[in-house]
Amino acid sequence: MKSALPVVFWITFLFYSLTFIFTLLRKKKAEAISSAAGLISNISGLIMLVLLSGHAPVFRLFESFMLGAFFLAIMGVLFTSQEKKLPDVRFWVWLEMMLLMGITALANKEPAPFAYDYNDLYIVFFHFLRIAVVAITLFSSALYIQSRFDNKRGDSIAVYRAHQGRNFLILGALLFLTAEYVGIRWCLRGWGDFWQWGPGFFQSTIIVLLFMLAVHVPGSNHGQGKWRPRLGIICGFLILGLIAYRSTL
Amino acid sequence: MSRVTEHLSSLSFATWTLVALFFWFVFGTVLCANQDFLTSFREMNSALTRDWLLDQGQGSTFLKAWFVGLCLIMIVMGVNLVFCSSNRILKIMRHRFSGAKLFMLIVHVIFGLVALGHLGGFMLGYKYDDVGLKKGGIFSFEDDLQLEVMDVHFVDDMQVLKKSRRDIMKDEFHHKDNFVEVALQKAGQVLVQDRIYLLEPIHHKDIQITLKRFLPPDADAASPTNGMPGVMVAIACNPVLKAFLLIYPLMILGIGVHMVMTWQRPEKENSNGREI
Repeated sequence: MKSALPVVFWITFLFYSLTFIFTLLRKKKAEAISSAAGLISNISGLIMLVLLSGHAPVFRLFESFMLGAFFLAIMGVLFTSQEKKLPDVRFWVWLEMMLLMGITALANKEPAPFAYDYNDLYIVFFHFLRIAVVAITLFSSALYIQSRFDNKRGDSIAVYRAHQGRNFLILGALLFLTAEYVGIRWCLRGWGDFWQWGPGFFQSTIIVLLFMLAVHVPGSNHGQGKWRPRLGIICGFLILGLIAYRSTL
Repeated sequence: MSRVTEHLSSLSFATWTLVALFFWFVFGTVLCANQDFLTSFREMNSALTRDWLLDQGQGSTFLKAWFVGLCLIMIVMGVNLVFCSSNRILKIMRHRFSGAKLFMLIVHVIFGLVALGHLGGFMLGYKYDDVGLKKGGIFSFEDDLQLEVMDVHFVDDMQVLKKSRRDIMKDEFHHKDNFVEVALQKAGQVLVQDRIYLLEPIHHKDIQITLKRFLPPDADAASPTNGMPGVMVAIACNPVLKAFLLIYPLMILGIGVHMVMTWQRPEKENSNGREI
């Protein structure tokens, strides 16, 4: 079954790529079929990872980004639709999916070996929440990007779109802080202190500060040339980069 | 309100403080890439930050300056938070009550308390991070307290102890079978005696005793504990920890409630960006 994992990954990548292409071609039915096939393949990969490793697929880059791709696909399918003109939010979500799968393609396509503490609920929950944050903030970035395009077109939906981007950004911040709290409890139990001076804690703090900046910068959520939507866009990609980097250590 | 207090409570002031803090941590991360600084940061973890800071013989002067800079930025942020919150309280009292605004105010106040909780963790109580002990070993610390290792139970292959913690696999280490029996004593009287496991510390009031890892046995054949692994424990007393662990989830809850309350609201055209 282990040797089948890379095959399942490439099939998932193929179906998500087809979904992106059909979004570009405005083929609704084909897009729906390929996204459903991608999701089924993605779930199959996750089930295989769990069966092979015996633990939740949240620890190393390959398994955690497969889970992240699943979350992003679910959000893309449930919360977006093909609109009249390109680009639309769905286009950006599938483009982000290409990025996510592209990074995953570089990783070793094996589950993480079962370390002695991988069944600890705090540790599992901490990693799980962070992966959910990657998907949610990428979705938020897609909304912010589209809001800028709508704004350029003079479409009044830009305001609503940016507000939705802000909503998902705050949801991401909420889950990230929950992950941090769970991480604090884990750290306390493992090292006797809730804070450790080092790169892992600094990078987490950078993410928290980025969230704080994105909601504190003066200006509206949707205005052109404003820092708030810019930071809203940056958040998803920076968090993706930082968590990808941490997963490789 | 004077121009100074208006400026101190402004959103742009908060933003610039956050920017400064952001880059301060980016700088800290860059420093971690250097092995010497990384070692110095690890030294910071081995004691309470207050003790590390005040001990002139210990720690990198550069990192101490970095830490002082961090504290200064946090003080500036605290000033902004106090002025901003008091402004909001006045506005809520004067104008129409708004649930979302009230929740945002509560979140900001709790955030201030969380930041103080972090500071308390750095400055109050005491911490002994890498206390290496063997069976029968005693470590004495504050208030005439003593930690004695009564027994060390280790059932797995000792070779696994040469690995780093993250490289130890599930079938190599049986979590529930490997433990240490410790007793916390004061003036010969046992305050608490219990088993500590990895990820399962014991507590006595504000004192926490944590098993950080098992140590490979001594190579010295004459040692009375020959063949038995040692242990590395952390002893920490943080008087604000319980309050910190209580208020942190309240902050998350407050953000959640505010998010739900404002989810549907169409955003106002707001040049000063007071609403998030």
